Amino acid sequence: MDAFGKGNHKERELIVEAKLLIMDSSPLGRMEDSTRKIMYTVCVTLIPALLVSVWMFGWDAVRVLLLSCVFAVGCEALIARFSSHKIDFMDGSALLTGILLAMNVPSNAPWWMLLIGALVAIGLGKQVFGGLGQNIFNPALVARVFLLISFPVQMTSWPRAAAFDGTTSATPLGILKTEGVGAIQNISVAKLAMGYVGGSLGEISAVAILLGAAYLFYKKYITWEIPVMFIATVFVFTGIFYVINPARYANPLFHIFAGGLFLGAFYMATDMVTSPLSKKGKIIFGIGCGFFTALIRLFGSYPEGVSFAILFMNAFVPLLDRYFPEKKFGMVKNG
Amino acid sequence: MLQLKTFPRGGIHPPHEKHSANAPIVTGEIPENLFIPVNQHIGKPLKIVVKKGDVVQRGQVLAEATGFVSSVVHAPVDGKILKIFRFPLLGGQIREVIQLVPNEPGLDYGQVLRADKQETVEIGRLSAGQIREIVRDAGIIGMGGAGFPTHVKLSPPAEKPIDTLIINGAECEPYITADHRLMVEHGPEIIQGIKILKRLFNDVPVYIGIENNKPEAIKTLDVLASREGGIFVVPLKTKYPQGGEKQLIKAILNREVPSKGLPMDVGVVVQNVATVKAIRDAVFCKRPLMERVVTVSGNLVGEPGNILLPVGTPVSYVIRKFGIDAEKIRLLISGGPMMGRTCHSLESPVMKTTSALLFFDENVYKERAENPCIRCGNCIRVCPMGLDVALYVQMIQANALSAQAKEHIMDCIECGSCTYACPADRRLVQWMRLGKAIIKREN
Amino acid sequence: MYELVMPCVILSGLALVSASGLYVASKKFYVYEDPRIDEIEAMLPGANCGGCGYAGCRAWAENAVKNRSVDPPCPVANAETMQAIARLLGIEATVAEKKVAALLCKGTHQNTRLTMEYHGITDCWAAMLVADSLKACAFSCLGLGSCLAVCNFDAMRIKDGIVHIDEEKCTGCGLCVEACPKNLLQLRPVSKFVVVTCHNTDRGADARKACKVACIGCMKCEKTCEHDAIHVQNFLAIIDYEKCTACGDCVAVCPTNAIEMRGQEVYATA
Repeated sequence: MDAFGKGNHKERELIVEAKLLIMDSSPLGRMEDSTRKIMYTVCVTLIPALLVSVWMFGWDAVRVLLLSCVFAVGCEALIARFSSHKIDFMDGSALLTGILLAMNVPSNAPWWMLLIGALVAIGLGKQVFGGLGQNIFNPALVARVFLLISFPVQMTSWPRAAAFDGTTSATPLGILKTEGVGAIQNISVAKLAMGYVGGSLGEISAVAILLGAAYLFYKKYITWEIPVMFIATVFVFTGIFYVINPARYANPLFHIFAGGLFLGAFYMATDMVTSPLSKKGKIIFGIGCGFFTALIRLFGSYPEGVSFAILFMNAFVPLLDRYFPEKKFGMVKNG
Repeated sequence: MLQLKTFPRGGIHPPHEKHSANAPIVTGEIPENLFIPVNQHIGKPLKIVVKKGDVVQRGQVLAEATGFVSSVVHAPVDGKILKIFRFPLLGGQIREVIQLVPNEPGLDYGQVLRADKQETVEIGRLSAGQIREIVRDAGIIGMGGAGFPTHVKLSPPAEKPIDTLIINGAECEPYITADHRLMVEHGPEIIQGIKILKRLFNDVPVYIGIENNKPEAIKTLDVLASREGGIFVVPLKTKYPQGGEKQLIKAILNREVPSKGLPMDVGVVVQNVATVKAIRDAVFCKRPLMERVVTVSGNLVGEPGNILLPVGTPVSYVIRKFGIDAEKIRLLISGGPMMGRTCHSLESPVMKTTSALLFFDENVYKERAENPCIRCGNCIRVCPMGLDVALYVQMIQANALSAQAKEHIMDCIECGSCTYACPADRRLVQWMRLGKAIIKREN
Repeated sequence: MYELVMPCVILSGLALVSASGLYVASKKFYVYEDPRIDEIEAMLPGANCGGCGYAGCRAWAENAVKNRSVDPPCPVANAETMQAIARLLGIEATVAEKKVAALLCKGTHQNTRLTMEYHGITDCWAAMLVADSLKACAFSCLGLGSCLAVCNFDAMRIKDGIVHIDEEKCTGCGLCVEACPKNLLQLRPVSKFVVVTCHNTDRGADARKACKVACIGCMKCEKTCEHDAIHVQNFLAIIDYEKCTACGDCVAVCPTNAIEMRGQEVYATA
């Protein structure tokens, strides 16, 4: 038998005379939750971080956000029109991808770049794999990396926060990579955490992200394993090298709060579709992401490693699901 | 304050809906017709030993066993056999029933029960073998819903020694309160039944597991049990599916029944409270299993209650008795909403395993189309057996089951926690059942 | 100039080396394969349906050459193709008649009636987990399309609650027969147009109450048939296609129209 549940829906006319009783498989109770609710809730929890970025970058941030979301949902609607199976483009997943993509690009990104980003994220990062739930790689990150490689100049000149002078510069991590530890000494951790530095919309406020993530923890949409292991591994890895040679390597606290680590750890790596299902798998995934992030930051040629690290670990998720399943009930050795 | 025992993995908290918890058990009247299903149990089909036109008496055998894992069916009242034919049963199946026309329709069934003669029996004088025979001849099957012949469960092979008995008073399904009322109103008889069971297993300790949303039952049985030696009431945290026997054993004794195994593999026998009372009735009143308490509830029932009905009573009798507006019924569930089965005929008869009849109208059932799996992991998180539900269901849909999946899918207890927790409205339990059917066909 | 010539030379050199390597490998590791296998495979329909019992058309071709036989026949290929293949192998071919699938049920919504509103996975096996039947007749077609899902030739569609088979497209591969949980599909030789469109083994009165065109086991067909080809067992008439000549006498006498003469296209209800 090839496939199940593929009976011809249109032909199944239910001719109801009088009122027939409903027959369905047990259970007949359901929890009050839905895919839509989850997706929109995650979008809403990003509002604190979005508010900070609008405050920092002004109308530019609003422009980027709006365009990115419209393009993302629009792309999915377009694909839905021509798809043979049903795609619910209003289920919030495309919107979420749009928001996350907006948070990964500089606020002066031109509209065509956002359009290409949306096309790549939805088309290449999601629908080509089979749609919602089938993609292996995080769509927003696929788009970000695609844009980074295709348009390196536009993607690495970051406007400084509008609260200051509107000029562009490299991010603190960028400065670190090109000019070394000395140049970043005056950027305090507090400044980083609150976002008073140049960067993408998402790189700037760890505190705001934590606020949103707290609600996700409460609703149990994300669990502690991935973010904690991710951030802890970055801390430990960079910490070791800082201890070995503080003149060459930045201190671990700097690394934690600089760049997109918080956004990556709490929102990108924990994406339900592209992260492992079991607890052990999540821990390994978190450690792997942290390891590669730190590796790229310290020894790679890119200043920021979060996107690459997460995409790399995404590829291992099916393997992790297979070899690290949950502990089953009753797996005892029979004497 | 001692921490309540519970099973560590998975579980959900659906609303309790125990609207009939304070409704005392009432007895019904004998209906105009009884449609007694022939095969209500798990095991070899029975052989019908009556025919059209026969006059039968209460307690007479209508269909007999054809093997060890089989049961017996009796006539609940005096009457005449009208017809033997295939009829829709509760749960969608169409199987053979024996239509019995009672001599005295309208008579209160409670009177019939009181007319059964009671005997004083010294439990100590009965041998284990005699007790097992009485249980077998009484046609007692698991009344918690499974319908497994009790005498088989009470006869584990010698290589599986039993060191504990557990009595299942958890009743974790929403709406159902039949067992709760039995414990509150018939506590002494349940204790008598437990003592009979102790006789079978060398007086091993007995634990009665009751969820803590039934404080009255816990108190009643605790008082009675403390007068006896070796019977202990264990209050359990209210969490679905605490009533699953594997979860019960894990919570009370912290032992895990091995995969594809049975409770006797860890030295335990589990019995439902209603089954225990039926065993007591069989020994003390020589009464075969011919009736049971059914909870009648749901949003169409103005006053939910618990009613003692003879096996074979059609649902239409319950509808009239409780004044339910039949026109409005859209969903009829036999059992609870989590593991019960939907029914399509309002004439289907009550069986030995029918713990509840739930009547719902239009507003309760929401049409759901399945959405793609977003790998949220809820199903895996709530599964009491620790199965990777989302992964297995994807394999079943693609008809590409891995060897590992085949092993674990058979351990699914079909409790429905996964489907309850799924935000994408996927019918996970139905897929798992399909998977089990595929695996069984391949073997 | 140098920058242009050197890469060309290097790449050409690499190409030469690879090509030589491939040539040597193809000569040294050559596996002889009977060229007839390729020829036969090309003549086959190429659906890889498995109707012959082999794992695909190439597997059947390999077996044909190895055993020099066209048995079991490819049910999808037509008679000329099979004979051509037989000639290629130098053997005589007795080709079995093409078979097509037939549904032993005519329980449409008009003939019988739905007894429930099924909401659940749209699959017949899944529905059987919830109920024995969706209609008044306990044996009826569920109409949810498990058979349709496995048909490789687009020969089935669901209308009025039962499955209709397009006998032009049907190749008799037999996959749908196993896919039906109620065993309602049967293969019959295409020239034998007569089908008993019922599978109900209940007593006549009960069967008739469930469906207007049910077989009631009255045995009129059995008494009328001059070829001993139709018999009633368990209140259900069953045709023996070895003896049936498709004369249609039984069709005419059936009081409930439970037997049908099948044409090329889908049929009308009673």
